[in-house]
Amino acid sequence: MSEKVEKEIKFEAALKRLEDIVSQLEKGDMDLEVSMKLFEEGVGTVRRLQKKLEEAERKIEKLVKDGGAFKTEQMAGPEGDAAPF
Amino acid sequence: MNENKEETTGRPVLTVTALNGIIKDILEGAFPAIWVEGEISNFKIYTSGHIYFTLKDADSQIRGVMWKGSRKTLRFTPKDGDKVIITGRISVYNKRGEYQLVADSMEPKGLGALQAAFEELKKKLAAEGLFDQSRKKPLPAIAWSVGIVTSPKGAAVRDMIRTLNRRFPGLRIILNPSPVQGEGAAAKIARAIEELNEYGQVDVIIAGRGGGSLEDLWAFNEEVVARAIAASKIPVVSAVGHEVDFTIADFVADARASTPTAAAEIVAPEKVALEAQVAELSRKLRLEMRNKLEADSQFVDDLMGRLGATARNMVELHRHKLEAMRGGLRGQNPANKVRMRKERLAQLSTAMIRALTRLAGVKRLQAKTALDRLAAIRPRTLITTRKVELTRMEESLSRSMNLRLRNDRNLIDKSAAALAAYDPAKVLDRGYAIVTRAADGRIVKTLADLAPGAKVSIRVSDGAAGATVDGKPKGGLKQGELF
Repeated sequence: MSEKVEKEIKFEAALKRLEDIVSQLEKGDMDLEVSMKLFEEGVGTVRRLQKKLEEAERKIEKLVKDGGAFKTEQMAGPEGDAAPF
Repeated sequence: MNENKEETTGRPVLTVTALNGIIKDILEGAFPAIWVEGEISNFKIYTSGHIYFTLKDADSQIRGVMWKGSRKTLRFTPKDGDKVIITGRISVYNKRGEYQLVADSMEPKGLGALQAAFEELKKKLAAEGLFDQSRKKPLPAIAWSVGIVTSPKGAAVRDMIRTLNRRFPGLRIILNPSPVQGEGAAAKIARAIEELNEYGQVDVIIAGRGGGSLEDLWAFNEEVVARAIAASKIPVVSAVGHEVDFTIADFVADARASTPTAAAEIVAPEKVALEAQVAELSRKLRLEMRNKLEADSQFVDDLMGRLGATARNMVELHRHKLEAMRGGLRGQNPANKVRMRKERLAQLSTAMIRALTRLAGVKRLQAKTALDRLAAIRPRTLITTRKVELTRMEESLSRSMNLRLRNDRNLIDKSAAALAAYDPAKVLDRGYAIVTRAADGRIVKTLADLAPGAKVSIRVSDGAAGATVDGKPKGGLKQGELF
């Protein structure tokens, strides 16, 4: 649906993949080379997941109509007491 | 009852108690069950649990009470100013000669009509299947952006934003403000939900408001809102703060929360939990890899040990064979054969050891590469390691440079000394002379170089002089005789 939803699915999928990698390593019956590949993939995945969690910007937007299309405008946060909240 | 004839006059005189008793009988008998509408004032809940209030209209008032036992039936919390319809009776309190309205139940005025409309719409939408569980969209496991449809004023929006930010700091929140009560509110709420769908960049929508009277919440019981929620492609969570029952919006929504805060909790993933999950997987990942590497390097060590042992055994074996052979061949001029065997054995041993060493080297290299890569994946550690290495290299470099310089200096000193020793000028200083033939400039080393009458040049420490050889050269000078 939206790009946001896609992102979420990727996050979920990446999390799932990471779990798979860990459980494969836990079995420990693999070649060293294969293990290393998996490990590197796992570390990359961890980085991506952490980045995704960190990148969320703290913002509150207001939906406004701009001609026929929609856009959002930045609003003050609820902690700013001057805000319309 | 206590009706006595006055002793002197015979007039029927009542006691107060008797009078109140009669009034009680009449009043209570006349009003055993009534409906009264009015506005509540002086509303007070006593510690006993009973509720006392005054019911009034523009011109009159009556005292009222609701006993603790009847409070269970209350489906809202009455407050001063509420217009209500009370079902009850009249009761007389003998002791004070007061009468009051005893409320058995109480409902907000206008509820009846609203309730009827509510039930009718509910039936209609249920018949259409709008409340079916199968229609409900699952909420996203992780919502990265949340759309909110509510009033920009009031506690609801603040509660939602606060809760969303607490659970997932930095979550994208898009507010599409709409009035939530009063004329036209329902249509505006519906439109706001549609607009968020058109905008499309939210994973979930919360539509709601804080608590209020049934009339206040009514917009969420209107068909237009129900239809908008049903039509939304984005999951909708209803969040109408209400103590009483459900709203139609609750039935249609994909999830229902009893307050705006609860809705925010349902919707927002807990960032801390997600982070913890990722961190835990990351920890396990590294742990498993380390285990694997340790197991592998142990395996290589074991292998090395075993290979080493095998190699020694084989060498031993061959040596034994050789000894045996040597014994067997003794006395049969076996020297050549023994030598050949010995050579063959040496070759084999060498080849084997070389092969084993190579194998071990390969394994070591593999393990080392793996460890290096492991280290590379933790760049900070790697940088530290590299820094240490670099420092060590620098130190070792400067050490070897110093050594080299020192060596060179020694060499130069020695050479200089040696050179000094060879400097012909020094020799001349000590009284030696260099004699060269004038004819060809060759240095005279033996008598053969000197023909009688030949012209020579004699070089001494401070110059040279010409001379002529006279007489026959005489040989026989022995080493050492010179001095």
